[in-house]
Amino acid sequence: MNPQFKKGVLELCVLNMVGRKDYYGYELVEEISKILEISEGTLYPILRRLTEEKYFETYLRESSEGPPRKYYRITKLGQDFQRVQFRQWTEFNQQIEKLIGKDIT
Amino acid sequence: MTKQDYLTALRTELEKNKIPNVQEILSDYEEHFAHGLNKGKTEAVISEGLGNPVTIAKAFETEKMIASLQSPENPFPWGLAFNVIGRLLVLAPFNFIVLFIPGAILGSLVFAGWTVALTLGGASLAILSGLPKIALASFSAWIWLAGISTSFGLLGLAALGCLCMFFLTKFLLLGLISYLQWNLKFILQR
Repeated sequence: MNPQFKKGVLELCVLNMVGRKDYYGYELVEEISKILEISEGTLYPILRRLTEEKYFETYLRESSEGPPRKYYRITKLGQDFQRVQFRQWTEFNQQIEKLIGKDIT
Repeated sequence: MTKQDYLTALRTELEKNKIPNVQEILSDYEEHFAHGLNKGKTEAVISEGLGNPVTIAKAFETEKMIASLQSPENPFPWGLAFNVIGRLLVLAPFNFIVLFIPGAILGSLVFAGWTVALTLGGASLAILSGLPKIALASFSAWIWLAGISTSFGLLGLAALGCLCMFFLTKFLLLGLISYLQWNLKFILQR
């Protein structure tokens, strides 16, 4: 897939996924790379920025199955941000569909 | 690439791009390695999956730029505003004592000084202008002499008074200005 497309939607994916449940880095990376082909390492910069902007907060949890996990949890601010981003994404998609048409295959 | 090689390369690239919190960032990648190894992947496979350290450092650089674009430019400095108001409140009674009371005394002194000096000048001129009339009435040279000398004496006193008052007023005004400047400095200091 066009890497420019991926770059734009990655933040939205991360926001929405962490909005649904708490993820630790590796788990999130694994889940996304199942669907999108990405350099896994480029997800951490996004996670770090969203955390620095107070959209996410992190906490450490020990696990019986492996190393301790740094979990990301969405904050109230993050939820608001996510809603705005999601609405913008939907509107954007509709506008682009108007321009390029839905039926092109 | 081994885990150690990968982390070292990443550190070098991050430092080259002046990314803050390098240690924290590296610990995230270390955790990633730990989870990958735990799932049975080799260090080489994990490194491969993560991608080129150069790319990752660039991604951090990009995120840093995005963050600086999104952060609001100048939020209203509430803290500073409260500080300034607080300082004004501290200064107000102080200023009342320092400025108002001595100000009233010094101000009236200056006013009195100028009044005396100008009155002397006025008296001198009055005598000078009245002199011909008086002199005509008595024809005495002594009166001329006395009138002129008194008048000039008074004029000299008036000039001296005005000079003194000029310097005194200047001095006080300069003092007032520097006091107000100090006030401003006190209020606006961070």
